[in-house]
Amino acid sequence: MIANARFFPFSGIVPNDLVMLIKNNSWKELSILLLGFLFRKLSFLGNQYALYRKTTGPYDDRTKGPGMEKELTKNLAYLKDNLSDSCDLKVHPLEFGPKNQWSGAMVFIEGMIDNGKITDGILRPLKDWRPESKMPAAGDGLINELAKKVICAGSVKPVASLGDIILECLSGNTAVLVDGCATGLIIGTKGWEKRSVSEPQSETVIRGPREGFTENICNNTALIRRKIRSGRLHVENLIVGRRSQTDVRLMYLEDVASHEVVAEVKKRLGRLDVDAILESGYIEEYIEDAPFSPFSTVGYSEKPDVIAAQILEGRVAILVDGTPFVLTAPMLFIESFQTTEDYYTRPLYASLVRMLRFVGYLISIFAPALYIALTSFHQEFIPTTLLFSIANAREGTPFPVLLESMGMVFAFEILREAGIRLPRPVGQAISIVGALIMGDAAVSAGLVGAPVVITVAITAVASFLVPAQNDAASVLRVVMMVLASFTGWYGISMGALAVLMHLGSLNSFGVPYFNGLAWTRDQEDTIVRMPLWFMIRRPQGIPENNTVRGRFFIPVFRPHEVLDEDSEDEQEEGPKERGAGA
Amino acid sequence: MRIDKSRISGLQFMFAMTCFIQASTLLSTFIASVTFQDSWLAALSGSLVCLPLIWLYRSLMVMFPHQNLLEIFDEVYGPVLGKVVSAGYCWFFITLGSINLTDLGDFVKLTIMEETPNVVLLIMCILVAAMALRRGVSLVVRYSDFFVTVAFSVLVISIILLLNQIKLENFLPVFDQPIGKYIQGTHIIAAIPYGELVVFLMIHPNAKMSRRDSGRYLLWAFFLGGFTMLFTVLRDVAVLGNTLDMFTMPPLVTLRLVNLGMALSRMEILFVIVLIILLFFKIMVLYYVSVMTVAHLLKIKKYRHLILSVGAFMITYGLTLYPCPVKHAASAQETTPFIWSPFEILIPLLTFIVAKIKKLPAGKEM
Repeated sequence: MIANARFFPFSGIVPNDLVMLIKNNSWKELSILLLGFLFRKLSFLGNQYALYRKTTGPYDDRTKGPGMEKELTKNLAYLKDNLSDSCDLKVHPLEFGPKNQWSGAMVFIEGMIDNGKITDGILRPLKDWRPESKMPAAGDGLINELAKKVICAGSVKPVASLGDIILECLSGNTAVLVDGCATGLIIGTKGWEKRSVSEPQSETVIRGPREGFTENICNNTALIRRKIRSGRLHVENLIVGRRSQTDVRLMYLEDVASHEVVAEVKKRLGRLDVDAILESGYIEEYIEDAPFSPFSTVGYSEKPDVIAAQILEGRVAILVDGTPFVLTAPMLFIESFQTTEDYYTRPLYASLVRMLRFVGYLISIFAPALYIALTSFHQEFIPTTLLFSIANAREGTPFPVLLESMGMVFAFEILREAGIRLPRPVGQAISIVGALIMGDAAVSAGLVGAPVVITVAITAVASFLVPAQNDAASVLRVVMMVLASFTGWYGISMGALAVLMHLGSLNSFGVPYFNGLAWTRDQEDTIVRMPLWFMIRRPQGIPENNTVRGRFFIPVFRPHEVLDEDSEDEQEEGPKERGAGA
Repeated sequence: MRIDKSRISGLQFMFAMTCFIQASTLLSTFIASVTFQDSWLAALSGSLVCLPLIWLYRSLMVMFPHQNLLEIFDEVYGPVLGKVVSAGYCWFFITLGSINLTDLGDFVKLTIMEETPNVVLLIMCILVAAMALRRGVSLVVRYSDFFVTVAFSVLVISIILLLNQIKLENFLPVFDQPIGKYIQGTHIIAAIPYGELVVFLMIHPNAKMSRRDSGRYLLWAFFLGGFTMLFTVLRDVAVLGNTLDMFTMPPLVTLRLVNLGMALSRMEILFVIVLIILLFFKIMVLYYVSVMTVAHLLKIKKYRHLILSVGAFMITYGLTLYPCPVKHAASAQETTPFIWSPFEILIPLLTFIVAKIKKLPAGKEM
């Protein structure tokens, strides 16, 4: 029987056996069986713990290697060994000096360096080098001489640790090692194929700058610096990811951004201990306040002017190498409704569009739910003629209204996803065919009613007005539909109140998420966009110091009238000056 | 010992009180069947009678700026008697919360969801309120200014839309009822919308305001709330006249009468929205106060553990309080004002007098 139990190592104890053993009074066998079970469980837990202990100390590229040796061959062997003897590791032997008495090697990784820089900056100067006075002895003296007088490159620095050399090589720099010296030189020769600055696909504008970030972080910082030429714009480099060693940069205005927010961002980034950062989405997920909320609490953009505006309002920008998407923190709910074009077009139209966006957002959440509530519970609120046509359409359809609208919303999401992922020409074909089939064929086949198609269509179109909140809207839409389907109008009200309460409870890096929508001064840039000369303060709660961005100034409203008055007063001087100016 | 450490601004405190009064006024149609077309007189006199009451609450707030009602009792009456009084208030707050919860359920059942079981509606409301309670008073009163704005705009819009239905002769005859009816109406108005402001004595320590401000904010809230009530009643009387008592919900019927061409009709949906929002707010405040009271009585620092259990109690209590809405309305007219009076008027007054005699807050401030 015990043998029997051993055949089932995962199920532990066979209950029948237990009963038999107890019945037979065989306590000894029973205790062996139970102890064996206990032992197996404990050893399983022990293994899990050992595994856990192992995972807490994973491989880290940041570990410092040993110091360099004097012999070149030993150093090279270490480097080869620790770069896994890869084929793209190039070791270029050198012999230089007046009589070619120094031998050394140049180490770099193929494809990450700029060949021109290596030829002109390292190889040619070394070849041509003729020391003016006496020859320096091998050792630090020689390395200093090389660094100061010979090599022509923007950044040259001596290193003594082999670990540092590996790291630098991996980021595209070149190491020059000389036989007999316990220090090497790292020469900045980064250069690889990269995409040039182009118009971002995700945020297109009619009026405004068309440049977008690229995958290169240095380029991105420069793009922001070009917008804000202030000495107070602070840039800080961090390296995140044990294996990927990704550059992450924080940018903020030192005298505007809140120190608490900056400290919080740094703390959360410092806490991060992961294998790799492949996109800023990784960072976002690790530092955001409410991971399970449908609302995102970290903003992002692909356009330098957006990020510059955010930094000027006192936010912190987080740039990640290898992605054109830059994060900003803290994020407010209202940010999703403000686009850069609001500030480039005139205020009246901008305010109108802003309001339209709010309405569109509400439609994208509530329209299907309202349709369900009206048709299933509150028919008396529908005007009679419309009620007849809705009833007419509903008569021929087989499914309950919730199922009908759910199906249509689901079909729309499928179409959208298919349209995005497929190559562009195919995607268009798919969406046209899908829309035709959904819109027309489904109605004429009697599967869904025409009103549902209209509702879902307006919902779908409205959801594109506020792309930043699209994911939240998709989730809330379904929740509202379910609530409306069993408690109608009351369910929608309670759902909306719950969303309000949830939004009120959210914080983004210590700043209340729903801040901009309270009755405060921030209303100047919430539902309406006041003229730029009116908004002289940065939004509340985000900046710590220097909350005023400019002096209040009313532009001259009717310049020609003022000009006429002036010219009457200064009849003699006016024309002369203008003539001189021309 | 402050259990909930979140703070609110003085303005939010004011708007919360306004919203609270508005919530009661929109539903306080029971005076309609007491004083008929003279309801607006009752509303006016009730408001005036309440001015001393507002002054009483203000003095308590000023005398004990850092203690809530239960702590005031503990200090004024001593630990034992104070706890007894506190327990009474615990019952009062929970009952008030349950009654309002039932009001919401009845109203929704009456107007839009006839066949839905009441308990489903109440559970939904309590769950949403519990979400807010977890974050403390700052979230509870956070949207009060927004709610007040919505209520005001609906009131103004409805009055404008109803201008063509208003007949001034609907107010006639004036002073047609026996004098006892007016006293009854005044008492109801004093006890139900205004007297219930006593719950804000539980919240005022969390509000950041100076001594002078507390009186000012209370008075403003009183004016804004009273204005809403007066104009709601005036509008209903002007439109419906003495047929007012035929309806369970006069404002609903009034708004249903809006008819401007084909476009603007069936406006009662606005009233439904406003009432759900305001009643939800009132329930949330009462719920919060009940949870705080229970936490104080049981000396529990982590009040979050109490939220759902107190909510469940309020639902069951509310469902068993009255057998039907008619009994509910009858008790609101006849018995409730008398039961509430000790809690709203007598005990605060007594506390004030005892505190004055004992010179309590003065010794503490020195």
